[in-house]
Amino acid sequence: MENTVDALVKRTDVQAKSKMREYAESILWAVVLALVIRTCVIQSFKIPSGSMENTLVIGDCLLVNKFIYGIRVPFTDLRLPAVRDPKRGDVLVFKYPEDRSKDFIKRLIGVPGDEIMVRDKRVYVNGTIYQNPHEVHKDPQIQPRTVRDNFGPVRVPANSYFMMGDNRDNSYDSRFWGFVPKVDVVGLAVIKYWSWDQSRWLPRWERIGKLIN
Amino acid sequence: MSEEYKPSQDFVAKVMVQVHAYEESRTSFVDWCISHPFMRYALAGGGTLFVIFKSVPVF
Repeated sequence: MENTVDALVKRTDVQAKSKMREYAESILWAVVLALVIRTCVIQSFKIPSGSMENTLVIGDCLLVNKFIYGIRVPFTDLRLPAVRDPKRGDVLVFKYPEDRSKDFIKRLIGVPGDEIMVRDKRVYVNGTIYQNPHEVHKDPQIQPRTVRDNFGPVRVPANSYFMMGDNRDNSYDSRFWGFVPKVDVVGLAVIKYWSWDQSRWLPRWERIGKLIN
Repeated sequence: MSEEYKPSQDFVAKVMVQVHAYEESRTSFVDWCISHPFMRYALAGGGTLFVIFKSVPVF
């Protein structure tokens, strides 16, 4: 009789342990899957500053493709083969060269070998005016002796990029701190999946789901 | 004691098996949720999505 009762108690214990083990395995798989996806496939970012207005405004949340320029091997500067190289006009997330713990997002203006110059707010790439349809100038004044409105010419070195914010007059970008090394590129901004207007306390429905280009 | 009413040798064991079966059959809603595979998958999937969509500020 006692044996039967013991057997029942043991069976219940085994069932509880098995349930615990199932949960532990599920949590482990979830953590591994989430970290792999976040490191190698997509990562979510939110915009706290207006340097990329009107392409990206404060409160936008976006997804970044992390494999298109080659998956970065964690804790190294190595990259797996890329789908394609960054090209002019791409909106990139990268490590801020002066503090690599911070991520920056800007538009790629100059690829290696390009000559970049800014004259009275106009951007020249290899001697030709480059006007991106998304750039905005919110300050009508031209400041002649600042790098903001008059910069260069400079030539983009190998394995580096020249980046500028779309909000040209209010962006802290390559004009101020130089080039972005290729190894510091995190990925390509792809889509805005959420946008929250803090002042109206409402989502900006019209921005949600829009591709970033 | 009359032989007719004398319990069998495994009487208690049989009763305990029935008691256990009964207790098993009346699991609470929380226990049911915890034990159901769907809940486990939902929690794991939800956690995965939460980690993926946890946004990092980008300036």
